[in-house]
Amino acid sequence: MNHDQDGADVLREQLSALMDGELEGSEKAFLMRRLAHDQDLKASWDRYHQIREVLSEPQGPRRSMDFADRVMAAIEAEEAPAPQRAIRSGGSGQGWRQAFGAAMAAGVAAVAFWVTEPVAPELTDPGAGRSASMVELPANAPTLMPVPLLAPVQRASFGDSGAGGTQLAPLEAHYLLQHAAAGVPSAPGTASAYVEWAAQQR
Amino acid sequence: MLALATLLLAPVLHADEMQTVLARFGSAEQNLSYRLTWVVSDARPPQVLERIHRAGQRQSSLELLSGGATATLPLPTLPSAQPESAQRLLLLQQSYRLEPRARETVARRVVLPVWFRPNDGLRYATMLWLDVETGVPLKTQVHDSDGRILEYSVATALELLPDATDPAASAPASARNGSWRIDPMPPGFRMVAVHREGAREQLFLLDGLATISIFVEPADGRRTGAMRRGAMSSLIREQQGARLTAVGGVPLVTLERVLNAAIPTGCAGSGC
Repeated sequence: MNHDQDGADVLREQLSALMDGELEGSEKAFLMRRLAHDQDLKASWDRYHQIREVLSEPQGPRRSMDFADRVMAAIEAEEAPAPQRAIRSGGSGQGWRQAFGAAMAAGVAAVAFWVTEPVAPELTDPGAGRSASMVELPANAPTLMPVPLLAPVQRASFGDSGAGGTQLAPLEAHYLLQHAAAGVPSAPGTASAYVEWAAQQR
Repeated sequence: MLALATLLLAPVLHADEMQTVLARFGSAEQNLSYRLTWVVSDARPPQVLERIHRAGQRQSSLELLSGGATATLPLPTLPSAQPESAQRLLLLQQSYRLEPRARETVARRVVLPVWFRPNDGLRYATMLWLDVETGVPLKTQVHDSDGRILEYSVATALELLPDATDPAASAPASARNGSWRIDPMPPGFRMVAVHREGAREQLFLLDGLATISIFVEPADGRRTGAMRRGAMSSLIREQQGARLTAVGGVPLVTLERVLNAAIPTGCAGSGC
């Protein structure tokens, strides 16, 4: 990591701290002055705010109150410690970063609520009649689970970790990313490919 | 009376606007450079990404803001991989019913939500919130046939960037024919590109929205099987001396159908 990158990381850390109201004294004064003149930094500040807003209500106004209430309830009910998913690691006890982490933790629970807008009832999967052989992934499953298939193909044998499924090997993640890059960013599956890539970066 | 007329005319107005916005959508990746800050998620915790897309330099970089990782992806802007907007619209209409909704706002920009409802079970229902000015999707939701959301993404900011074409940047070489073909092709899909890189070949299928890649490599006895995460499915088989990895944002049954129809052509190397 070069000095420029180090400097950028420090600035982002300071932005996070400023957002939490944890930056004081000369550091705060310096950053405020810089924010007034540095358009890139100002843009980062704006993006952080927008990200926080979106994470607080990822489905937008159409599902607003009911959905938000349940997400908030999920966050509050989250008994396990929030995962350390700060925008940049290195800090401790940062308010909005904790909220960010909690929102992410709640994301798993929140997904369970998004069974709302049914698609056309005439939509039927050609394999639906045989869907008993499909396995639904539990919300807290590890990154990947083998899925028994409908047609006679070899039984899934990813990795050798046994129960609970396994992580995708890096090569498979490379496939996903390469596929996502080749397609239009809005193509179905792109978000999942990026989430998988992100999971493997940790 | 005015309210009733407005109500009756609304779908027509949305449909007109949809054609315009879809045309922009079809060409945005090739013509626009932008920075997009994105929250993406499937059944796992959301991730925050920043994507800088530089059409003129044929590359797109990803930064994982919620984890610090970065990746630079070459843009495979093969002429046929991203069909012209009119052609793409035709493809879309073979496989989906397009239903525009009333304008909304995402990331402080005006968007037109459009439902892409599939005509069969070979692809997922998808809703895209398309930026009216540029056609860039600022929000997406992918649903399975039971209406469950498999994945979503939402932009928090879109910044258009100046970008000069870099003559030194070249798209990956595209072959005319692959060493494998898909016959019969699942309804609505077309093979739009073949990309070779060393011993690996990538066949790229498109139905106007959903995409499938088939990576072809020499068989090596490594693991095979199937998986699904969010809206992304993958199926790996070894057959006739080749290892075929099918990846796509479609139900697994579609990938099965594709690999069941995969036939070697005997065509390989630069002559194809």
